[in-house]
Amino acid sequence: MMSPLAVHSVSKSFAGKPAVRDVSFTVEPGEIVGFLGPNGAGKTTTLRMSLGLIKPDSGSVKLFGDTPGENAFGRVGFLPEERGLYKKQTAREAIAHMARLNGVKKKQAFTLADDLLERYGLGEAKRKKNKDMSKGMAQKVQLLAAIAHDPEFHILDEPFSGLDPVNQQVLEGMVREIASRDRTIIFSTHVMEHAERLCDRIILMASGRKVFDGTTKAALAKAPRRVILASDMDGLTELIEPFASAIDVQDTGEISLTLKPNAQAHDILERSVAQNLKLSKYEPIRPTLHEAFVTLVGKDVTENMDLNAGPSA
Amino acid sequence: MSLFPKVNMRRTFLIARRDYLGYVKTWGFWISFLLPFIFAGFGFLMATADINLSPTQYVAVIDDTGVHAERLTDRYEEDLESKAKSILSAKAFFIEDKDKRKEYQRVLKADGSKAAQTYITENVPGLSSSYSPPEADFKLVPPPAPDLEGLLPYLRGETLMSVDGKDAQLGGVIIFKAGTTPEMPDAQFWTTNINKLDAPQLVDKYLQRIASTSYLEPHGLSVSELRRRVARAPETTLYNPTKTKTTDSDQGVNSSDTVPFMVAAVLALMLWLTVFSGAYMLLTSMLEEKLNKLLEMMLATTRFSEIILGKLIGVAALTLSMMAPYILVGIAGVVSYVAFGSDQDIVKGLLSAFNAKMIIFLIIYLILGYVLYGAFFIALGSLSSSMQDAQTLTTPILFILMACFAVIPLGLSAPDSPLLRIATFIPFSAPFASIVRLPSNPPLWELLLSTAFLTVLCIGTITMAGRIFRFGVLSGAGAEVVIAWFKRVVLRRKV
Repeated sequence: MMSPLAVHSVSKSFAGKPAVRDVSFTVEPGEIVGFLGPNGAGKTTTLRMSLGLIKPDSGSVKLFGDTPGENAFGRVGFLPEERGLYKKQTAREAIAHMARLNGVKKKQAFTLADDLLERYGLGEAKRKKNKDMSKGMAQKVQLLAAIAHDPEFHILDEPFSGLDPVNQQVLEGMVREIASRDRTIIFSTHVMEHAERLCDRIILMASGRKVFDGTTKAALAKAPRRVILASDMDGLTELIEPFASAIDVQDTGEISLTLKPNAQAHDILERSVAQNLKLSKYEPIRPTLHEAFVTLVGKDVTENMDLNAGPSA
Repeated sequence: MSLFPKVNMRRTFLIARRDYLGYVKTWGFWISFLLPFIFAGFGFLMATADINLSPTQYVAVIDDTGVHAERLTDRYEEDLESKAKSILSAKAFFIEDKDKRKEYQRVLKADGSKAAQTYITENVPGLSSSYSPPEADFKLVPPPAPDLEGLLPYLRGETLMSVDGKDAQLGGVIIFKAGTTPEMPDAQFWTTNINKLDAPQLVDKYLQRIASTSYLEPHGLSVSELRRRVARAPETTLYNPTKTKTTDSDQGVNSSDTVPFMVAAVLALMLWLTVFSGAYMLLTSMLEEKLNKLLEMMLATTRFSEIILGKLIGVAALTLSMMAPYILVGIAGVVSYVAFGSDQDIVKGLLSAFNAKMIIFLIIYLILGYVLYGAFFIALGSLSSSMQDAQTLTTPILFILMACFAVIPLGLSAPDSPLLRIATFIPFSAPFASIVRLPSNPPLWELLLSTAFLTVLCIGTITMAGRIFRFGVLSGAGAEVVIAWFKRVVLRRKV
């Protein structure tokens, strides 16, 4: 089956400033791909190039095997980062209008709009004007407008931004529901937790470059493995030194240990038993994508970025 | 590469429809649409309710000389008569018979309003009932006190006087005092309403009359005879040597010759208004679209060219809908005058004004003018990120549009002006200049060349607008971005 999206060595500069540098990746049918990176990493520019809204300075993009443009009209559902609706349209009119632009017939478009609004808890607001809706409701309506024609490929640019935790969960549910119909999804976010929960695969971007492309598991493997330890007895620091690449003694007296690449957390447990050193705390920390990202791009770079470890949704 | 971009008409229609309905559903549209009817209704209400917008001012005269009060009253009556004549002169327009119309005009001029009314009653009975004498701007009343001191409380409104059994405030006092020469008095006007100057203006006219009389009469010359002779002086007859002689008309100029120029000026004005309002609506529509941040989403499913064309069509339909009441009233007026109008010269003029050439070129220039200015405004709208930005960016093009307005009166006063001819070849002014020139039959090649220039600029503008639109929609935009883009793309400088 043909890849919905194939990006080959694309670069783009604005007013001499590079926004995207030599980025390549492919999105395969049925995948949920997380396009991650801090603000200014080049995610939106790459997605706009993927749709043909911006031409790359170099490299090429294939959308459904063809140059982005009219051949993909109706096959892609795009939710841009900057969102809005016609203020005087009602929710159902907004959804039906976009569906009709995507080739759906008038009657069917309104039926679809009504069904979607009912399904996602906005049935009562379907005749409400967009200007009278809350931000979260309006954002959901726009997502529904983008997906109403049931496209094969969904490109969602920062779909979670601006939503409260409850609505973020609703949106995660919507993404899962779309994926359950074997649709392909790529969504950008700078909140790593969404990607961790939803994605089969992630692409990490920093300063316009792709720094990682692989499964979520592979990305997490790049993150440092840490263990929090504490003991009322002396000798803990000496005991863990052979396994640690970094040791950080916290104010509480607890030690945050970063394991060496070849060391395992249970090695520490085995040695403390062998040396009869009683541990009052032994807590292996689950690595996060945020930590993986910091490892991949370096702490110096991430300190200057608006990278959100994110509220859990 | 094709000169014209590909367009899917279904999507274009959907965009046009949304833009059209988006405006039609607003209060503003319906207020504009119904405005002519609201004004007509208001006018009818005012007429039937007999509401006096300017209450009568009562003016008293104190004459220390003993001679001028009576003469001023005569001058006042004369003024009323002059007003009546000017109202009655409009009746000539409705007298179908040419000879009767001429005779009526002569009687009115020479013998006055009463004689003219009598003439109408006897010779054109159908018109005799529709006349009511003019309202005076002020009324002369006997002074309620003998001197200024006694009249001051009346002027200040502290005391009211009785006029025809009703209480009324004294609005002004004219005082004549002996002047430097026995015949010329000093005049004063006392009032609290210093902006209503009808009474002092009458006094000024009266004093000017005294000045004429005192100069002419010592030499045995009468002022009234002078006025009578001036009134009866013959008027110049206009002839146009290019006019074709027929069995029943010579080359004399009449309404049938002047009406086409007036019609062309009105049509050019309507064209200008349509282009101006349409282009401005496109700007606001584009800005609304940009501020609503929907364009990017639409661009994933629609071509740039479809959005631009859809907007042009949607707003064109909207502008025509808003102008529809005016257009329909205009058409109804012309058709009903052609069918029932009394002056056959005007009928002839109207028929020759709305010839096939005028209608064809009007449609061509309406489309091209709207597309030219519309494309500019779409491009500028897509570059704006706020109303302030839009105003800043559109100021130069608005100045051009305003300057083009100036060619319309030129078509009436100087249709042979070289400026008007030059304006025909400048695409920005071509639609308006060509339309006002049409009654003077400019060479066809000039019109075709002007249309060709305009078409070329339209295509160039749409192409440029498409590129600017593409850039403007996906950038933060604003005036500073435009300057940077201009330097980078047009001047090829590094920014």
